[in-house]
Amino acid sequence: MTCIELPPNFQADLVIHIIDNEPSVRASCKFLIESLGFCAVSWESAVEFLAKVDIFMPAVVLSDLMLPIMSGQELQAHLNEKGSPIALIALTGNGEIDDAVAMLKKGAADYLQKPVSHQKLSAAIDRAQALTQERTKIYYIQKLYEQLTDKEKQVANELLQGNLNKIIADHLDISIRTVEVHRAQVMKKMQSQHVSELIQKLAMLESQSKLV
Amino acid sequence: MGSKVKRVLMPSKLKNSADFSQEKCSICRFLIKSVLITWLISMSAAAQTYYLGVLAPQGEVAAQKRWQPWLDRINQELNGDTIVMVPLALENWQEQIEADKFALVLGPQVQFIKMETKGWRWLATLESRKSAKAPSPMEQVASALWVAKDSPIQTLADIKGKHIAAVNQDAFGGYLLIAHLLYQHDIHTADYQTQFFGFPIENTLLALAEGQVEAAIAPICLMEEMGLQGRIKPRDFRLLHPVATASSCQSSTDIYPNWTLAATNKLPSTLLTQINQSLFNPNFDREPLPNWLPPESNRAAEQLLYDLNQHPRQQPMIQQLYDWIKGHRLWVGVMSLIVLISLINYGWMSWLALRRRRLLIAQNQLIRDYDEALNKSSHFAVMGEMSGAIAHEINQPLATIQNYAQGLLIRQQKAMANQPLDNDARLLSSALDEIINETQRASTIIQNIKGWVKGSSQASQSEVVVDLAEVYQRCILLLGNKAVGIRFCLANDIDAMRLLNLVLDQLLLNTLLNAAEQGASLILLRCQMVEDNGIKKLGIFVSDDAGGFLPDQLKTTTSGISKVISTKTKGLGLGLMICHRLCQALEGKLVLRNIAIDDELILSAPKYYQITANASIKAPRRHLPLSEENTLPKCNLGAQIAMYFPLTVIDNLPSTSSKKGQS
Repeated sequence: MTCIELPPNFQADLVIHIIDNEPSVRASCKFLIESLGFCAVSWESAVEFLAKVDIFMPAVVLSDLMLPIMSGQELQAHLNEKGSPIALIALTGNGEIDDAVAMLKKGAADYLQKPVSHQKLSAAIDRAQALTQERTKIYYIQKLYEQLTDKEKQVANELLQGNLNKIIADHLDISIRTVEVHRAQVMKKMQSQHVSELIQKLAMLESQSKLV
Repeated sequence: MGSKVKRVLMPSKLKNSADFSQEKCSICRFLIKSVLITWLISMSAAAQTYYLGVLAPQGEVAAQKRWQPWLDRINQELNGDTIVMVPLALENWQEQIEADKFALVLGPQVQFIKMETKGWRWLATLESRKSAKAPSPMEQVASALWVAKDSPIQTLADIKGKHIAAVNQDAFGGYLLIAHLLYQHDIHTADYQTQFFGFPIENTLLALAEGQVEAAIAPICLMEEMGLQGRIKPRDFRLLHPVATASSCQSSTDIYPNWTLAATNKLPSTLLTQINQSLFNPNFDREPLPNWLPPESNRAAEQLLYDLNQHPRQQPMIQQLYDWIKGHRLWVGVMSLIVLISLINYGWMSWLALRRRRLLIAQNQLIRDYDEALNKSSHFAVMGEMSGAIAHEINQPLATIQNYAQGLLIRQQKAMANQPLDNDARLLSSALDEIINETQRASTIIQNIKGWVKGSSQASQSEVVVDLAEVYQRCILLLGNKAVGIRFCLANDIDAMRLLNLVLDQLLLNTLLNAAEQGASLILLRCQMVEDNGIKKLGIFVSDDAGGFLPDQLKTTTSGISKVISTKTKGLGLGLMICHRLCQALEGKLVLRNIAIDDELILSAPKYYQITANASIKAPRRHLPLSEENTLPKCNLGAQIAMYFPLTVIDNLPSTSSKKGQS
């Protein structure tokens, strides 16, 4: 299986962003996370975080839910809306099952309750890191896919179905030669060396229902 | 008489006869005859026939025999007038006399008590004669109670339970006198059985003789008369309760005034005078004719009728009432109709009042139950919010402590990774572990308390369909005095929602209470489908004209419970935080904002605000006329609590949408 590598500009160090309006909690949390060996940055509010951080880079956010102006839920909704690959771990002092379910449904990486044990926190951060990297890859592939023309997207979809050039030509009512030209463009734009790598990237998009 | 006149007139037709002297003679004869005939006619016109009604207890023949000789004698004394006797049976005697046919009436005095005798004149009372030769029951008024000679009945008291024969229940000189006698001895009519045999009066004694009855009531002297006639043997009978009287006959009672002759209105005064003279004429050859005395008083007889409750003036109440009603038929009818209508009206009103009372009691009970449920729910919500706030407040420092402790422990472990642990390092490590464990334990305790409160509050909650307008009305009612002076208006496209029981009530009550406490005079509730950040949602907006939220309050919208608790005096109330929490539980959100009332009124289009309730909470629904002075808001700046919910809470969404289209 071909491993999809992210380009250098996406391979930033995974930073753990801590958002909490209580300074003592914020500081202690940063202390603990750094003790666990992660790089941590703390923010007073979600608004400040959004203003200072590029949300299209892979990152893990450890956020309180009860925040001024923009709550943790609203931050998650905002990230979803923008298609950000950031993985958010909800950390709340007033844990409610309903809130947890709602947050996880909305795409949060995890839901933890204060005070949290470092083992749980460490495990959650590991999962969130994996998740944000996965989301970043999809985000990156999607950006590549969005460069394709409509015709190239059609050809890419046919390739994903495993169809040969001749069949694709029949389906799209174009010549085999034209199919070959489109196919070469797809391979180039999707930065794929082999068809299998292309299919893998397209399959990832399909799994996220982001294939048009 | 007519033929006589004709014959008298015939000579006038012979004017032209030959002989004048003959004619002259004829004229003389004619004049003489004319004068004679005129006198006869005038005489015959003055002579009248009057009728005398006579009671005939022993039948017509006996009455004729007894009274006709006397009447003939009277007639002789009169100047041309004739009195004709009419015997009357006791059964119809009263009716016939009251029919006003008679000029004279003759009967026992007591019988007249029961009649209408206004204008009558009492002429004379028959004298009782002591004549052992031929005693007659018609001459005296008294009664005798006879039993068989060998009867076990010895005293009046023995009569109880026995059968007694009597003539008629109205016969004075018979039944009534004996009934009165028994009554005086405390024996009432119900104590014995009376059989009425009717006329002739002899029937009673004959029935006793035949053994049909155990006792018989007979007029005085009847036994003696029948004995003389050989129809009965007096020695076979015994008199009960014999009393000494002036009569030669045996009697059980005193003798009452005898028969009386009375003149009615029909008898002219001149004739009355003539009859009076005849009755008391000392030259009258009396024997064997009856002798008359001046009329006697009938007081004793009246007293007797009173005692027996049979006096005409003792009419039963019901009879008097009947007579009165008969006399005032029209008024009684009108009054009865009015009373009837009043009664029906009263009945109807009572029924309505009863129904309304029941309805009010039921409604009152409903409101009380609802209030109780809402209070309970509210208490749980407050408890939940409090416990949540406490949990949050305590968890924050606990989290800080635990974070540092864990961080220190990790760092120590990393620092000492390649070195053997000395004693101090072990102690430090152990202390940090202890800190972590204790903070975790404290957190668990808080979570348990919170879980218990939440479990209790959710135990009885189920999802129901609620009508927004109804809930709004109920919440206004529950505001009580706080609702006075406030106009409540509603504009809604969405009527019904499917929510957890009492959630909408809590949301509305808390938001309305907030507006009322801020001094609002106008509260607007709007429920419409709106777009929030490009997503269609159900929006419920509670707006007021109380001047809007303070900037600090607006900031705290989503700042968390800690803010609420720490700045309670000037921040949001707990009620709004509960609303916030409830909205979150419904996957919705609560937003506070300041608005211009004018804009809000325009926003409600196409469904205009309608007044749901004003200060009196009884005003009918009507459109809110924006131009009317009394409905203008107190202040154009107002506060709005906006609640957004997913469309899934709308009950029966498709039909609601079509309704919206109609409106």
